[in-house]
Amino acid sequence: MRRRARQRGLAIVTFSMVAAVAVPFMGLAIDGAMLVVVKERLTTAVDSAAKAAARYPADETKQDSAARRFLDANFPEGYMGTGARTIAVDKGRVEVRITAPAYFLRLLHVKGVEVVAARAILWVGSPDLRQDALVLPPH
Amino acid sequence: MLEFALIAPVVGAFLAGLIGVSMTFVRTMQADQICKKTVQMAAAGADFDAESVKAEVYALYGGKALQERNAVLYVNHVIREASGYRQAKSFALGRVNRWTSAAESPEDVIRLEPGEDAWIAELWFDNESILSVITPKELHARSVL
Repeated sequence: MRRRARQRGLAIVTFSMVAAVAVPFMGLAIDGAMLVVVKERLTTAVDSAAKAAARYPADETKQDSAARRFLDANFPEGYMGTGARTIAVDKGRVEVRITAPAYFLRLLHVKGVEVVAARAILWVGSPDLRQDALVLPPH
Repeated sequence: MLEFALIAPVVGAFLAGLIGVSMTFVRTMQADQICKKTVQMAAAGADFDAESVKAEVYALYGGKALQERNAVLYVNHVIREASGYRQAKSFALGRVNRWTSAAESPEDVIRLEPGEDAWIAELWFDNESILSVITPKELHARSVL
């Protein structure tokens, strides 16, 4: 009888121990997946913004305006619960920083994770080929 | 035994939730990839009425949903003229009678300056799942180039 009672208690203890490890891992997996989706969407938006900016190689004001409008169409401010957004457009290079929300990571006092996406537009034959460049045919 | 009977539904609900969330993430990524790819194809001059192009779209990861008409893909070329927005080209694949395209009022999607143009790919996805209580019933993805 006593042995049976001890076995009953064991199930709860085992579950608690497994849950203590499994729940944070699941939380981390969900936060991680969320970050991947945000990063993927932001990258697509920045690609589009960089291509839009590339339409105006000689006019930096128009570059900035086009990049922001196409970025807004693909990744509006506050999209997917993201926080403050900073956009830098410089000589055909668009860089966007946003703060992606963290849900389970909050338990570890991580309120948000910064996600950065950058893309430069260069044309075929350009001597300055950077890693984050999209290369377009000559204009 | 009683403890396991009490714990099992909790564990089951937890796993179902996790699977549901994971499926939503995967389908969101699929929808994003289809939009991204098709908007690039469109900008490169693809004709989505051509069977070869349709086959290419259906072959994309998640493209089967379009072939089976559980989703719809709208691809629109929008031009901003001095008088307003004009839809220059319009393609639709899949179940067109269920969802409408937001590109019917493109100014809600993107603000263009006169002389500018944009390609808008938009996907509505029927998220049929036994876990539909947890996952959204519809997914909507869009890509503007």
